[in-house]
Amino acid sequence: MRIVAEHLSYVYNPKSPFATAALRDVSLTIEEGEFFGIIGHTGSGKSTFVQHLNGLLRLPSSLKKYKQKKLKKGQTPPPRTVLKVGEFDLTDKKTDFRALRKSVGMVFQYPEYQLFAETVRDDVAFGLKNFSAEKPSDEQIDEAVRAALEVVGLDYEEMKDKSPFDLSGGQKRRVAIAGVIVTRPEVLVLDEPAAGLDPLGKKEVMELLHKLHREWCKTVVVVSHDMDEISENCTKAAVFSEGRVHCVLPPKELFRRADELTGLGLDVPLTAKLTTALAKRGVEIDCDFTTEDFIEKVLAVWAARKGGDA
Amino acid sequence: MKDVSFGQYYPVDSFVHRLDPRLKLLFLIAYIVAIFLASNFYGLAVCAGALIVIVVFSRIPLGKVLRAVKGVVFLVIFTAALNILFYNGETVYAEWWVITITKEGLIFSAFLALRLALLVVCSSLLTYTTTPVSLTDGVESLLTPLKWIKVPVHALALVMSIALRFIPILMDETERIKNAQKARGADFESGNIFKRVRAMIPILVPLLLSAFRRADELGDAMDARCYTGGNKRTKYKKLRFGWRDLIAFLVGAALIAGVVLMKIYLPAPY
Amino acid sequence: MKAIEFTNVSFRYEDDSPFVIDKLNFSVEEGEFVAVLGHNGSGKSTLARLSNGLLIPDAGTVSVFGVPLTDKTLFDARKNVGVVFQNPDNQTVATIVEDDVAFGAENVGLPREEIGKRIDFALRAVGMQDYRNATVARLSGGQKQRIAIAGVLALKPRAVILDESTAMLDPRGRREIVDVVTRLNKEEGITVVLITHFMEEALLADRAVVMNRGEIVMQGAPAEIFERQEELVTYNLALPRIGVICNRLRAAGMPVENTLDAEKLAEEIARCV
Repeated sequence: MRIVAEHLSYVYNPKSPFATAALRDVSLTIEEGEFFGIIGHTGSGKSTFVQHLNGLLRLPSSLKKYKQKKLKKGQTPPPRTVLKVGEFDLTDKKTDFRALRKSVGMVFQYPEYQLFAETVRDDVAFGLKNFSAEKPSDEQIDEAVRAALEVVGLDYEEMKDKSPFDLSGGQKRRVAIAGVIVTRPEVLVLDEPAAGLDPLGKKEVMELLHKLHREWCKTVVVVSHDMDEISENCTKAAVFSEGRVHCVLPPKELFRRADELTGLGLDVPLTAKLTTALAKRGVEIDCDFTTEDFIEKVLAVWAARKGGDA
Repeated sequence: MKDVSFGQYYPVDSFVHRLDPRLKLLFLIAYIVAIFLASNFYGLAVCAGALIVIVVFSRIPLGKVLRAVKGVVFLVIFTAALNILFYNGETVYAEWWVITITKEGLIFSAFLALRLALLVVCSSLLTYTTTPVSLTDGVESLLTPLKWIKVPVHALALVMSIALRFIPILMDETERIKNAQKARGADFESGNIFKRVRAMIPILVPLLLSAFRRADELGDAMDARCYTGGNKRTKYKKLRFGWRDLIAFLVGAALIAGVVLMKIYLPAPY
Repeated sequence: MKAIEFTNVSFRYEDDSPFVIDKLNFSVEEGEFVAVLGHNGSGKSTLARLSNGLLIPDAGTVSVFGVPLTDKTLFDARKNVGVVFQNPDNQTVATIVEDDVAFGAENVGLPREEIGKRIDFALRAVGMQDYRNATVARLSGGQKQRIAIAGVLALKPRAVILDESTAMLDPRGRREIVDVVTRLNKEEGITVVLITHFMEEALLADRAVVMNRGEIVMQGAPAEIFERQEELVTYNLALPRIGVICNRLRAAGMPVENTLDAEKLAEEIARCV
């Protein structure tokens, strides 16, 4: 499913002293099959944007107002807001939001805090039962839960009857992710999926996302403020700043603009820091900013230099 | 950030903000008594007038004040509607089955709605203009006599202030959990009452667990900062009764006196 | 003098569960900046809670500035050793910044004027003096944690322990906290124990300690510890990316020095090619 947003705006607490524009005229397209990164500070609008994707935040009432407000002479009408996820038109109130939510899985920050059922099996099955038109049979549930747990790297037989609250932090997060992907959504959106984990846990979660991208969900959208996570994993990334989309580029091009990102108060990945520092010392490394490629290119330059000396 | 206007301190510096919280608490009580004593529109008009003056002096934006009413608007309409429909009056305007709409019913409903609105505005003004800490200090100070009969006044006051501190956090959290379960297809809006109550479980369980976890961590953090109860404690902010408080006290006293006098000398208009 | 000293300390949460801390000997010198590393469940948070009597050891003694922890010395120990926890939302008792910072100072019964001075000192020490009357809920994660540190500093502790206080913050917030504690250590002479699972943060410490299964398995200067990268991996500690790059380049035969500093690594690479 292709995600298209045009001229999307959103204000929290409209008409109050705390009114904050979370999104200002955001236009962004995410193609099917992408591993898409959304970068920005806390409060840059990135979380607000992704919550629109499955209709948790409904399009603003301002849409209606635009229609009602009579245009004065010479005034151009405000650009039409578009928000489409595949065939779903989210500007249309008649859209089947349940069907949408089934196709767009959403993993929130610290998803382990949404666990509630007595057993892991029941918790993972929650979404499945909710989204099924007819009540699924026990066998169907078993099968789906088994598949979901296995893809997140947990053993079904060992886990199914355990209380989700007796698991370790990392396991809880996996169970929570299983509870979202169990309905096989086409698009999987994750808000800071690695937040609060130790470096090893972070690495494991990112590996899991790649596996899901390969085997399970066509499109993966990751919200993150960790630039290394983005440079290492994403095919494309959008930079949010103060409710606007600053740019949308593949990491290879994005992190060439290190100065620009620093100007927005954002970090750059380690590989970008290193290439900048090397460029200052007269060593040009033309890499795509993944660790692998960086090492390869550095070694290539080194080998060439050695060859030249010999 | 979500909209959590109830119980939220509004940080500006104003005459009302600087008043002694004990006075404000007592004034609120007196005000409530006054609006229930007021038996006619003159009395309520005086009360409303007094409130408008307070709003002006508190420098709270009008929108914010009205929003407090918005929170209970359903309750106001509901009780008003009940009274319009079922109040037994003499001057009948319309009649249908068990329902009669009378002049007295209409007046009484308007009266009730106004009272409720004034009540809500006045109480929210208290929380808008008083930080939770000084509010609890005020409560603690006013309840001091109860210490004589071994009521743990300090602990109660602290519980109240922590509750006020955590209300917005827990409201945010509820919203987050609700969204997470909605994303998993949970439906909180359809079905009969039993189904709806059952549908709350996926929200309530995580919410309770989170509240316990927070309580646990907060307890540790308080212990780590040498909290041992109220005995040895001192207070950074001392409550002081100043000239502002004297003026406010006199105004408050005049208001009550006015309402009482009106009750005695002005007959009810209905 | 030793700021914190553990002698043969053992601890478990329940009588029939395994020991989380097992016959641990560990000490921190006054004025030292120690980083404690370990994966989740290695016992490093238990260490923090044992250091100021939030948990009582099942065996062995914990001493704080030369005084063994007992029920009677607990209160003074807590005045001397402040602890800042993980979740920025769960440590503040009051809605307004200055009221929260005052909390600890009020608890120990200081006079009013002194509390006022302490608030000034503490807020300035964490660079939050302009937020004295702000609402805590409206601050960023990093700012909230700085307020939590200020709340501890208002007790004028001689040592501060940060128990994974950076884990829930974004990179900017993490940097704020590390800057603040480094300054406290260098300028105010406060002993700092920084418990973290980010090795980059440990770089600034005088000494790094690695915990695994309730025991100290490695310790020394941070740079030295990070040289022993294979060993770190066996304790379930993932190397920071820069460590991985260093390792791989060295493995390929490139003579770069081991470092966790980006500028220095660039320097090294430039030297080689």
